[in-house]
Amino acid sequence: MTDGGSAVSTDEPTLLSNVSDEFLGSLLFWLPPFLLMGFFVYGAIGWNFVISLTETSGFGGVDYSQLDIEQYTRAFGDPTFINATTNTFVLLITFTAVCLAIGLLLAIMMDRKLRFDNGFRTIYLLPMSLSFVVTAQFWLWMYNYDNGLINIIISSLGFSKYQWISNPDLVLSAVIFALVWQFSGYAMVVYLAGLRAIPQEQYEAARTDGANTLRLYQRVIIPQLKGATISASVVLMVFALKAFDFLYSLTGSYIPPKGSDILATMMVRQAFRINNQAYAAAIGIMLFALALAIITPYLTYQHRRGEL
Amino acid sequence: MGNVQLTNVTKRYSDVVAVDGMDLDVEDGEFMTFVGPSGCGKSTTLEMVAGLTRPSNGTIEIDGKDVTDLPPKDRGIAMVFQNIALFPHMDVYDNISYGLNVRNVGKEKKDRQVDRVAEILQLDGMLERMPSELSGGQRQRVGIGRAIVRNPDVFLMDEPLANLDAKLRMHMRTELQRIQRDLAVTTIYVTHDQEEAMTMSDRIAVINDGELQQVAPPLECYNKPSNVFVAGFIGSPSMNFINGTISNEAFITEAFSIDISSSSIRNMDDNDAVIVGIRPEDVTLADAAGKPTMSRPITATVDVLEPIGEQILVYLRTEHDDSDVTIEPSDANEAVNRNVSDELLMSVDPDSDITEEQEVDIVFDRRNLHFFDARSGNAIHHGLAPAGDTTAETR
Repeated sequence: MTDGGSAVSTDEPTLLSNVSDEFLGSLLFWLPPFLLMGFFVYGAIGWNFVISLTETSGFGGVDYSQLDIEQYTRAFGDPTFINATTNTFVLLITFTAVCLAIGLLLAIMMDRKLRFDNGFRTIYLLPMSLSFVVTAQFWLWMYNYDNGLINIIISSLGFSKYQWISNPDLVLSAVIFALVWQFSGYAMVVYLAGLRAIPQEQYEAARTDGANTLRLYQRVIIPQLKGATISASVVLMVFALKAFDFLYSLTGSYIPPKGSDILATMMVRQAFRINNQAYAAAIGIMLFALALAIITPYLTYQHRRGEL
Repeated sequence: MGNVQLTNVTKRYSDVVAVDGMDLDVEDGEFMTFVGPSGCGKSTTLEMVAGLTRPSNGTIEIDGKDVTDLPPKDRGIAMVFQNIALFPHMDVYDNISYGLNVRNVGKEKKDRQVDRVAEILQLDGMLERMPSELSGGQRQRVGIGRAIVRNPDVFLMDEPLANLDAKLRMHMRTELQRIQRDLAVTTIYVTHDQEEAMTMSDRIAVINDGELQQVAPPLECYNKPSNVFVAGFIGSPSMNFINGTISNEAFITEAFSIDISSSSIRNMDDNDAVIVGIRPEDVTLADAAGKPTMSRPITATVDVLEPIGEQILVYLRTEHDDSDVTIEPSDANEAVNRNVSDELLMSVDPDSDITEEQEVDIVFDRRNLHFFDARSGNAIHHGLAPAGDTTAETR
């Protein structure tokens, strides 16, 4: 494109001048958002990365004179970081898997011409519209040791009560359960859309071929829900990475209940409570890499299918 | 082996009767076609034979065994669907062998059977392709392959060619006939296309409003339709219907009359309201000679010309159209009345020099006149002897 000026003298001047006309004309529309996005999103990510290479902590300015990966090596030697990373992955995988399983089950039930299915769909989807702060508060009440509904139910069944939130062995499961409650409806809606797209005749064909219900779903229907599974899991995993709000709301501080620390809570704590800005930036970059690792295969998949 | 017997089969949906007391016997190895307009109950009937829908009443027997309460898989049937319903995530081999997999057929036997089917359907070399990589015709052949691989007693086909383009449809039509003849398997075929029904079937079951209208070989449905509905449905373009009355051994309308004295027709008395049906190809321009097989010339005006290649369709107005209707609409059977139109359709050779608004003399071929009772719509008589010839005819 270096000799773009000579375009006029080529064989197809109209085509080229059309292209550049369109390019110039459309500039007004795409350039401002392009610049704003570039600066505030990608610029900020880049700046954050640079900070993560420094040793900034406490108050005062950032010293850019010496850049190294010390914060990253520090992280891998830090048991708190290892613990938060483990919890993040447990949350990510368990939450997504359970949500998908329950969502699929609900969707199959809904697809079998249930009465009032519109009503049920709304009821199942409603929790997703609530903010994390509301659901966290709500589940705090549910998990309350003395008056919480969960403990009332299990003690009425003859079991002993549990410290759902303050027991470090239980809290992560309790949080995952609450998040599943909130998001399985979403998985259901995505699966339901997938199921509705499968023509009725495929069920009839499988049935005349002699398949029973289990076999029908196992071999014919569920394999066709691959696309729905992929898009639902990406959204669910991204939500799992953002579970910070939920954990923050459980205690109202940067210190989540012991046993439920994840990368997001650790990052914010390091940045704004302990003032380890560089360390927090490094954790942020690793969290970002994690999100990219989740989203990239999805985008590639979509691109291959020509939907992007 | 598989004959299919329907006895008083009825399907009711809350307040709608989709299929009403159907009695039908499909013989072993026969190609039987259910034909009728959409919503007439033909697909519902097929689904009941397949076991996908339970009849509200009546019994269905296949090969002498009552299968009314059996699930589809235990009926010895295989089905081909309109939108083919191939499983998009399985290749051709897996699609064809799905029914065998479900029945836990061994690998070796499965391979052998799939290969046999692939050979019959000319699908060799395509077994590893995915449905999305196949053309419409190939996909339909896989759909048929999935049905024949299990060696069923009865094939059920629900408009399998409806989604194909015209040329491919013609091709698959002969293909299907060949396969059916080679395998000699009882086949029930559902279509709304009367031409498909005419060309493929051993017998046609014409269905309307959930009731059987006529079950007969194609040409019999064409030449001796049992009522106005069958007469209007079978054959393209549709038969003309003319309202009139019987008087002094003649069929009389305001515009013309036809002498029926040559044939002694039972069940037709003076003042009876009668509908006469005549196919467009049996309406011709009158020539000077005036053959005895033709009716006396009727004067009509050309309204619209529709050249369709091998012939020209001519829409005609007869002189007294407005006063043509001799029975009150409320008096007549609704289904009957629907068919009676004011215009007369004639088909002529493409080289005829006929122009719009021209006055022409037309004649009917007396041998192909059909008489129907105007109230019930049922056929009274088919064909008149040449004028002046009084030899009795068979009904």
